[in-house]
Amino acid sequence: MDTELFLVGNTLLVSFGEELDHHQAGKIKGRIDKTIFGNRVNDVVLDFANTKFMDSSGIGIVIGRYKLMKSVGGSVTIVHAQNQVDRIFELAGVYEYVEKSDNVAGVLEKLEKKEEEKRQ
Amino acid sequence: MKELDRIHVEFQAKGENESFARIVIAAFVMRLNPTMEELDDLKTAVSEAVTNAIVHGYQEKDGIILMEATIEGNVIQVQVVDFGAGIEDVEKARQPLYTTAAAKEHSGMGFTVMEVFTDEMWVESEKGEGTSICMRKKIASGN
Repeated sequence: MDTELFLVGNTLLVSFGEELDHHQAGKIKGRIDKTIFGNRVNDVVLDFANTKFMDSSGIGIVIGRYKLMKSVGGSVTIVHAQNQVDRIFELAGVYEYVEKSDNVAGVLEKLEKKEEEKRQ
Repeated sequence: MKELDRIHVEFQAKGENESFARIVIAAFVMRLNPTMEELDDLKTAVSEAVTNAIVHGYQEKDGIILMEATIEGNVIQVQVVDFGAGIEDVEKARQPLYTTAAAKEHSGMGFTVMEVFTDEMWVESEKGEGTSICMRKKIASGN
């Protein structure tokens, strides 16, 4: 399964495919950034529910998007990182500054509410 | 003494072959009945080594990568070799977070991941000649 991008309000939901290595990261990075710049994306949710393999290239993708979103006052949340994917993020200390969750619907709802409050 | 099993694979330094290399090693180590975690750890370490050869060894250009793996008892040893740029200062390269490719969002975690996910890992490199990364992992459940 390939990586899919979904725009949910002002949140970009990236649903990563089965493998996230250097090769896949190269293919997806451009797509993600193009979508962020081409739309009013205030927050990014990285969904690893379908990701069975990831190496340190995944760390690069997450940190890169974190730096990007931070520079525009937005957020990055990691959801459904399991087993080895979770171990790698843990090892790299990514969770020290990127939030993680096991509930993508909950995260999207929270971000939607945040947007609503901003609009009022 | 258990008979030595060995495989030797050569492939182009192309991104598509990162996955191929992982599959080859996974298939080879299957005879040791690894757990999911042992298998994932080994595949990840191999993926890092192959990626290093592509990104740093050959700077994303053409090149040949050699991968040799042996199984002796319940220990698998994997060696990944490239004939590319070589590493000037291996000690420095192995420092966590050190990377020469920050602009391309490389995290500098490759060597750290290899070290954590295998029992032993050593690097031999000669500037302008190439690099060899060797790693060993004991598969506890192996028979």
